[in-house]
Amino acid sequence: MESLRQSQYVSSDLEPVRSCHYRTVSGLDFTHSAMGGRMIQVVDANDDSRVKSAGLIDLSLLPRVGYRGKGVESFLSSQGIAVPNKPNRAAISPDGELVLRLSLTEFWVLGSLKDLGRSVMELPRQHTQTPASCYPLFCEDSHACFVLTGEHIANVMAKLCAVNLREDAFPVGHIAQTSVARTSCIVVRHQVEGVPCFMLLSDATAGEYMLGILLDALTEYQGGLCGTACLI
Amino acid sequence: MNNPAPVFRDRLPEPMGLMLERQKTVEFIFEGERITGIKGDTLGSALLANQQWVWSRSFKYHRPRGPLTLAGHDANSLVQLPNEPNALADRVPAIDGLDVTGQNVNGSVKKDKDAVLNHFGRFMPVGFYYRAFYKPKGVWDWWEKQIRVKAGLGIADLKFKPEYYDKAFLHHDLVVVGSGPAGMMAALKAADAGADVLLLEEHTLLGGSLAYSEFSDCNNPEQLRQELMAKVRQHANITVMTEAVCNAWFTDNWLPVLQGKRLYKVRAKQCIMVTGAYEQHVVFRGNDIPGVIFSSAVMRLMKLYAVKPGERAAVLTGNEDGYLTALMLNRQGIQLCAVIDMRQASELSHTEKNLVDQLHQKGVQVRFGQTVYEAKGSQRLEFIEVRAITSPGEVSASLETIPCDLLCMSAGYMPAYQLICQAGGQLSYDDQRAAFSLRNLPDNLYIAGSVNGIHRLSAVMKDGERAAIEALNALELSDEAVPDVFCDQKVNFHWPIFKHPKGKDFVDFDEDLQVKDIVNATRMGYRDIQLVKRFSTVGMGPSQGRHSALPTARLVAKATQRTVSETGVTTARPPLTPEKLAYMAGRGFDPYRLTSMHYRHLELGAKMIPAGLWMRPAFYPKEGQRLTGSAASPLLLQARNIRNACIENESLHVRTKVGLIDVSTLGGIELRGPDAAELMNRIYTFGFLKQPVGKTRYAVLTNEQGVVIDDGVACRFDEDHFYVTATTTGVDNVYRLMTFWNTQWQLDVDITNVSSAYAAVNLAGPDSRKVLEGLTDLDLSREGFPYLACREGFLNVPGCEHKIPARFLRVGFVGELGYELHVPSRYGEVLWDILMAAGQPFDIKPFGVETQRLLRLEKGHIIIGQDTDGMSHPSEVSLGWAVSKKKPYFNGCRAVDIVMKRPQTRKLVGFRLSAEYLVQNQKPEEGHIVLSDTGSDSSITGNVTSCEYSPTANAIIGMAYVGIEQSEEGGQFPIRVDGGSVVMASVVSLPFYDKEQTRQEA
Repeated sequence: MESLRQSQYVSSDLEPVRSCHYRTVSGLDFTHSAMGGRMIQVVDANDDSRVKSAGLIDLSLLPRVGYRGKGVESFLSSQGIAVPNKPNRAAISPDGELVLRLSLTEFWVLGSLKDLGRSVMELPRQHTQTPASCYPLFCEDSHACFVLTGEHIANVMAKLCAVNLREDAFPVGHIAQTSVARTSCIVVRHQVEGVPCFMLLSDATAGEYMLGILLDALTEYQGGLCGTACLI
Repeated sequence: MNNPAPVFRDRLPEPMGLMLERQKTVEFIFEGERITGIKGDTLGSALLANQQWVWSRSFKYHRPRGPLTLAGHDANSLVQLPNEPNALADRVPAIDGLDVTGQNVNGSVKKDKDAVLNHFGRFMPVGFYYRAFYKPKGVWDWWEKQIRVKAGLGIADLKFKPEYYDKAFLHHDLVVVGSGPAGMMAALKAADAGADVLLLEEHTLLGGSLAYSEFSDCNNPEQLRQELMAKVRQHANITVMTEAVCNAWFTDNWLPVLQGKRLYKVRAKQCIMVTGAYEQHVVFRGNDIPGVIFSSAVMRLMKLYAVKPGERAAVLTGNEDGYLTALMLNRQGIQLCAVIDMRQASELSHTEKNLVDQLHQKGVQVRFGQTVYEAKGSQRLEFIEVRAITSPGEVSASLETIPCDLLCMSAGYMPAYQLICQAGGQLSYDDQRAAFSLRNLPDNLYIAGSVNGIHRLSAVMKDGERAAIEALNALELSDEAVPDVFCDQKVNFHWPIFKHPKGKDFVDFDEDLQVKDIVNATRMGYRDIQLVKRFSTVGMGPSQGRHSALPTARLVAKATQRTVSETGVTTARPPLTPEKLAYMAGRGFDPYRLTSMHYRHLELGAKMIPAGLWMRPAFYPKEGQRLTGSAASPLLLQARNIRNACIENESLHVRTKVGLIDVSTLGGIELRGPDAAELMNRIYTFGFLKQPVGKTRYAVLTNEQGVVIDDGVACRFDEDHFYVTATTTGVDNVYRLMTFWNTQWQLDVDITNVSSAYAAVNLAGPDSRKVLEGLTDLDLSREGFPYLACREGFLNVPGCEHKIPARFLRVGFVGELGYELHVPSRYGEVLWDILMAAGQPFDIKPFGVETQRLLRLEKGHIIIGQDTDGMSHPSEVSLGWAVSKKKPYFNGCRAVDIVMKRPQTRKLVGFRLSAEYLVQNQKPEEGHIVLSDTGSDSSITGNVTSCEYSPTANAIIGMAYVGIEQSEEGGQFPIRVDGGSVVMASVVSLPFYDKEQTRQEA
């Protein structure tokens, strides 16, 4: 991780929107999310093979929004967003947004790479803009967001997390709110174009730590960072 | 290399040598000699193929020791590798170029100068080290040096470069520990029924005893092994791990499994222990001479490694395995000079009589009712002395000496009980079978095969299936009736112990313990088996009692006139096998948190210090003053001087111009909803119901003991919206406490911990308003945005259209005009950049946490955790003003009432000392004690909590707890400083700086 830091001296001429760990990721090509931050689109020519085996994509700057309160379910319905019917389940919208139900009254909507999060950006962020008992959360800033991809993801996570995340015990659409490498983390199993994925949401200020831990765990499977283009 | 390579002896023909790739050779060095082996050899098998029978020296008497079990179950095979001590020669693969030496030797394994100790055994009786080295008083200091030189086995390589070890979790319906015939049958039965099975095998080959042993009810065990193995390997529901040691059992079938450089933490819904049984030795004089070996070890040597174990072999047995070994030796062309059965011929079973007949047909006669009374040889077995057994443990006077170079012994078996006993299983001794069996297994744990006392192969396989059925029923994958499995094969000779008047009849090879050592321990009053263990160290060596537990139990039982069951065996504790510290110390997880401005601090050369999981800038040394490594230690004068100079300069800069500090680590909690004010009012000591919108208020939190545990600033942005800060390390506790209480109160409020969501800075100093004016449209005038006000607005990013949403707090922690700016963390680095750029015309400079501590000290503000302790109530720290007496309740209010009504015994006060004490190196430090007076019988009344030299005050200033009678302003109290001298500090009123508050309210 130290070498990663040193190899990425970053000048201040970047966009104002930056993740806490942006210096530790690099690639050939970037794209801009609807939030304004730079996301790696392509790391190198091996992205496509790596993503199917053991890949890691940083989606920390892809827009997302969370809401908590008794009024959230009806609010999201009014926005045309279908929600899972019980806690710790996730659903994918037709446009590719991932809708997480983290408790009876807490929901997160994670932006889609298809529109770089534009739809989610249109959802309100201020509690003055939402109905009563529907409080926006701060997950865009409080959490880093990574996607582990490929056939080895369960083995990778077995090195970091005590929960059984193999597909037979933790199928697509399941959520574990647990500890990953001693850091609180939301783990969501989903899949994109047949590629198994774990969406990981953990403390943004520990993003660099988590990134380092995940890359270290991927090494055994010759895995590493991939760009967002692989999942579109 | 001292010697030319020895002649490479021919190996036995196939099918012997299951492990070998005969076309490939390997070469390594042992004790300076080149050893040539075949790929697949262990170090041990290659050594034996080269006639190297002395591998090590014994722990106490330095007797030559060679192979015993060839299964990695004994201490005789411990050798030294270049960077690993205590490696098992019979487990470590032979690889090219490895440099191997013996250990625990003074010289070489063949010529060990310490072998002279063998002749001084009478001066080293059991427990001698407990008694010999302590008298006369003081002599221990001399002895300790000598003992430390001699003690221990291998040598740790302190220059060893750490390797990557890690951990992983596994989850399975069923874990089968052991892949012998019972284990494979259990795995297959369970997997066929749909269970997800993990099959563990500590060795390289699957099959357990099928891989090396002979069976009276199976003509071709290798064929059976191949068939079972093929089914296991092909089964989709079975995961196989070889060279994987289940090293313990913990509650709920939590199994640590060591494989390679990884510790697997395995969770099993059900577990079947098929751990087998350890063959037991016969106790007689010289039973440790190289060439005296277990029957099973000889079978392994031939079957797995095709090594011819000797030229003239004798077999000493108490069961049919000795006959099977003799037949195997005979088939491989090894001369059998004696087959000795300790039993009478009449005790043999029908099967065993058939085996005797087979030997007769090959011209081998069997001696019944006899034993080996003594083995002789210096570096290798040369003779055995055979005597008739007259009664248990007693032999006739007549003797016969038989020359031989190999003695295979088989006295019976001890269940591999350790893991099962860790799980709560209990051993009980069956006198009729002269064997221990396991009972009282916990739920979800089963045993099968020889560990369950089942030895006949056909029964062993049925027992594996029986255990699987029990596990499947518990998993609700089957409702099959559990069959009974019966086995009448008796494997243990009832008393294979033949005490010799000259000793060296070893019970425990690890610790050189003889029969008399165990018996003498009981005579000295250590009658309990646990005490015998501790006094004699029996079972405490690397083999952990695998071979000594049973004879020790028998000896102690006899010596104390109890049954073996009453005597029992010592407690088996984890780990089962020696566990490298690397498994524990390998890759760990040490989370850290970085603010979004972290790298800006590094770029500016900040001295970073830890704060909980965070790293924070302490101060910013100039180029040339940035010390690293040990040079940066605060114990060094240069480092201290740089620190002091930095914080003095930074503090003066804030007092005179403008400074910027990253306070992103501050906790932040968002409270929204109609009952937000009510929650604040119930949690914190102050009143918050009437707090005006747009204003901040100091918030103090007490616990249910009335102790101050946190503080922060509560900002009211709307009637139903509070944003309250908390201390860096306290916020999680505050958040937990709020949610805990509101689960009961059910107030209509949402509580969210937003500490990571916000980055924050404190822009402080007389020029701070000027810096900020160009960046926001807010009215920053004294009237428009007064002291203690808060606002929500935007910061403009120069050069682009971006506007950063920000929260502005006019607070005065450092006592100057200042603004705390809180922005979403994605904008944190840009916030730092634009403020540093906008502040350039005003000579803005960053300041660190250490400087902030001085600045707040000058203002008399306390830091929770530094100026408070586990007893500090609001009055003691002069926060009585922040406790509302009008409201009915707040967290800890009842305790606060009680402690504040009690007579106060101490108080936190400000104190001042002349700067001259700096020169005299007598500045008080945090933690220095406050005394009641300067007399020799003075008592401790308090301690210093904060102390710094203040360039603004040109004095040493600080805060300290003092006795209540010492707290009066103008008084003096003594502080004992480094070196033991005492300085007198003057009590002064707080703050030290700007008592009129004009600067922060500017």
